Amino acid sequence: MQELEPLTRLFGVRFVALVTEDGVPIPVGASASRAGEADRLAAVSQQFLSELVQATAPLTWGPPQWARIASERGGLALLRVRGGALMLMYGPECDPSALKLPMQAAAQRVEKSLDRLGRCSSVEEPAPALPNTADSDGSPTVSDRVSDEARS
Amino acid sequence: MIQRFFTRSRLKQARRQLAEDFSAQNYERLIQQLAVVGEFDSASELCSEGLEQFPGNRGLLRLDARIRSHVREHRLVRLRQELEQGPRPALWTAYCELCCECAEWDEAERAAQRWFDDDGGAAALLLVARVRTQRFYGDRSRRLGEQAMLAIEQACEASGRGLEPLRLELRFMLAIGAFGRARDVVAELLDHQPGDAELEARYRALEGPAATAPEPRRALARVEESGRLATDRAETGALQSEDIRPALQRLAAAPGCGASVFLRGSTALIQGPRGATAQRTARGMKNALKAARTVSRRLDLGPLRELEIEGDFGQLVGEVGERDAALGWFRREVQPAERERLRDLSGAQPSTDDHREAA
Repeated sequence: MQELEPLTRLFGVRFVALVTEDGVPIPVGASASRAGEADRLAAVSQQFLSELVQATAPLTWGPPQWARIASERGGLALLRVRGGALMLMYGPECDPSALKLPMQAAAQRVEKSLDRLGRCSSVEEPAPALPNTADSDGSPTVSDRVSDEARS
Repeated sequence: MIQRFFTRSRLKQARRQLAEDFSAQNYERLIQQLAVVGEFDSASELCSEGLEQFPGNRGLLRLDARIRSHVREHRLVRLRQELEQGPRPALWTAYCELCCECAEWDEAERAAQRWFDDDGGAAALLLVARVRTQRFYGDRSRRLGEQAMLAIEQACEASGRGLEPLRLELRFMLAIGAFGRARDVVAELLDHQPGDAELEARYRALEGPAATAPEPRRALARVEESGRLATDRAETGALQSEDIRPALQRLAAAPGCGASVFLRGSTALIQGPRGATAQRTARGMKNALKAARTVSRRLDLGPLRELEIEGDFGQLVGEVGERDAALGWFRREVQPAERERLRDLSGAQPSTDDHREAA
């Protein structure tokens, strides 16, 4: 996930991960080694997002795109991206107002690379099945030729 | 050598500048130079002096916080070295207290436990209980509260229900609002000190609240839910809704502001929407704040200070402080002045960040 690497270099940032909608984390940088913790953080952050949706739904508000909390010993920032959320944990030394822009930029990079992947996979799609009926001009089809060769 | 010469020269220049022009910027410059040459005590004194002259100056507040934290870290290192060379009770206590000040709870607990393992005395157990109690006051989660209660119980048993652990238990029970148990502890203290007028007065004062107060575990659950201690409520009890409503009205009257809410415990004051919409809005904001508090506790981040949510509805900003919480819903980007107003309402510490100062 080189698209998210710049986030790990921000001052005060402790943990960065892309979390899928079902709570599967894709940790980035040095934080990738803390796999067990990543699972827990991802689950908690996804639950937080769904609790926010539940809390604000009666007000006919759409799902939040960006959520951030700051506490005594650090904070958590979440940005919704296609198919999941970008999660970032920071320490008390971090300036939280400077996180949103880099996170949005990282989310755009992720979406662009997903689009690229989508385009590549469309090129590699299997060709449509060959027709098994004779062409309109009466020339034999590929399957007819194959069966003739086999008989001879 | 050359480096030192230039540093000294810059220090002299900063001193001269402050003498010529008496401003907060020049105070900051001199404090920074003092920190560069490692004169942290002088820098700390100068911070206090500067803050006396320019109270609330954010640059000076920020420098003061940084220097204090640096001095604490230095002291921690020194204490750690002294403990390795020759541990003694006073050193263990000082080390744990300093760790608690720096919010290094795990290290404080480890040190107290190590002392208990080495010594096995009641004093070490009391220190463990103190550390856990401090940790609970900082975090306010039920799990930590139960751990603190258990540690206090062990310390009481180890000392034969001595005075110090009982006093700690009394403070703890009063803080969580378990006044029934607190009254029992006061009765035990009175057995130790019969005729103590202050304790007798406290016993009488607790008789009323004890009748309706929850038992300790239920009180811990309440603290976890609200994020507030009973002592917080007592300290801010004097604040009337008349003081808050005008500030909320000013916030709600700003163009683009959908609602402003002040929350304390289960009570909410709301300005902006009316009737059923007001109720629904207040409930929604309260639930959002509750979710944020829960996630902060689960991630072991300590008490919540700020909440910010954005979506197609605009921006919801919340500040949590001494008085409790103030939230604002804006259909546009919230302005720094509005954030400050919310911070004032909630009784939170003013921001010391540079970017906000610039804004």
